[in-house]
Amino acid sequence: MKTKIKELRKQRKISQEELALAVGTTRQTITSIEVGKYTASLVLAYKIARYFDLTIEEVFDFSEFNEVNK
Amino acid sequence: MEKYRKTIRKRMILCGFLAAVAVGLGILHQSEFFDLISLYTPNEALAGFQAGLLSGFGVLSLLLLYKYGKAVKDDTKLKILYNKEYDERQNLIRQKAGMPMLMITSGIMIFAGIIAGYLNEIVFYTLILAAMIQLTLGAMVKIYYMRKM
Repeated sequence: MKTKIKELRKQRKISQEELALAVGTTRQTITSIEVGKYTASLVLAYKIARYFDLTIEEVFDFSEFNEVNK
Repeated sequence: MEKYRKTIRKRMILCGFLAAVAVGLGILHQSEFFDLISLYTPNEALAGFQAGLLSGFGVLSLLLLYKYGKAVKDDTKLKILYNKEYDERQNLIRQKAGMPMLMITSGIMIFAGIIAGYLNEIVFYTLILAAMIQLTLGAMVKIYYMRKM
């Protein structure tokens, strides 16, 4: 899944370690989420979005899940 | 975080106990105590392996004791340790690698192997080899998922 975490971090000059410590995860997990290897849980996604004062949709790109069968 | 600090303190006590047991067994190993109670005379290689494993347990316990001791005094280090332990990705990788049951069973097998070594050589080698293969496979699966996720 694509995310804007890396650019948000760069804008606010925050390191991966600082973000990881603030949201209760590890630097390695932040790296994996940034490169799209790992999809964060709803709780972690919420914590990351809250950290940047944004909504989950503003941080995480859900466009690949837009086609939902109703 | 205070609850976690208490948990770490309990672990420190356990590590201290394990280190003491390893040292105690090491002393008994060096003395002729086990020679008196064993059914056969263990060969040099077996005795050396047992001593090495015991030393390994002792050193590992002391290293953990040192690591926990530093974390208990520093809030940031404690938070990092907590995050590492409860990190969702790490937990998923551990689950996929069969942890913590794999570590528990391997630990029991190694410990049983050390004790059995004083009574029967074949049982000792079988238990240690099985535990080593189990741990190696677990480590390989863990490395695979750490790279994949």
